[in-house]
Amino acid sequence: MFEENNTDVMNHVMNSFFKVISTRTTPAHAWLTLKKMIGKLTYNYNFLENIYVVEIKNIKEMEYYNTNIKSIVNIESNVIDNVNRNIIGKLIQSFADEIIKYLGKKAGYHLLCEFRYDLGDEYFSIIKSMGVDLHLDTLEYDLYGYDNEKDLIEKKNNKENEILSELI
Amino acid sequence: MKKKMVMVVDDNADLIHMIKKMLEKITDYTVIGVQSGKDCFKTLKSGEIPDLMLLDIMMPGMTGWDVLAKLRNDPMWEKIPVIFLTAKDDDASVGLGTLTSEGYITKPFDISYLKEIVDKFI
Repeated sequence: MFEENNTDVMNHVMNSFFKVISTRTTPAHAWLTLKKMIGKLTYNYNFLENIYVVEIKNIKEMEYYNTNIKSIVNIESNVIDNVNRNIIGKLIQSFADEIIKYLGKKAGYHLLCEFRYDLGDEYFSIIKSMGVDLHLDTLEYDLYGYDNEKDLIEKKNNKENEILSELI
Repeated sequence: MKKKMVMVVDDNADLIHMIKKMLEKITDYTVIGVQSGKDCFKTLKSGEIPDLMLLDIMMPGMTGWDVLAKLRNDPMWEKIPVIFLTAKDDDASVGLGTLTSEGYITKPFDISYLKEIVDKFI
């Protein structure tokens, strides 16, 4: 696993959240959502005052930022890189928890799955090592239940056995 | 005393008419309606600032999502309470809309429930 500083990790995390929220609403609303979430969480993580969301008003502007700035946030690295890594992990966890709180299990699960996909394996491993749990396994179990899958396999096996016994 | 004002932003003129008729009947509020995000900002710029906004999401041109983002990005209008009033009822829209606005009501809606929510934030 490669080591990245807090600024790089936060950049990736915030941009991935921005992208997945944009696909559900609009870039402008995703911008507002990030601002709102940062505002809410600043109470517990005051170092968030050093992370500024770049203003995005429409898709055209988002394309401009994607090609020219490559980040939805401006981060004061000298502050953020000195924050304990576990605290950064707790902050990212709080973001994920807020998503589930507002979107509910099903929509939250899908959004976090996309977030994980957009983040990529390397950064997903990094945030995992920082103690972040996106609850994807638990949510998948709650939503789709492994028992149902077992039931399906059992039914399939029974049907196959029935056919076999008829043939014999 | 000046009556409180509710602005309905919805591309459906019939719905604006219905909300105006019903809300003005059961409350003391004045209801004005505009049919697009563009007209909403035109009205705001003319100095007509509502005490609360009922905002549709799926509108041609500027969506309700963008209207809200623009409102929240302007010190003149950022404090206007906004309630989404929309047919978009998927969990993601409801969740994200609830997070960024004062309320989220899905159509069809009950007028007494709408009154209750409007009363709460106006």
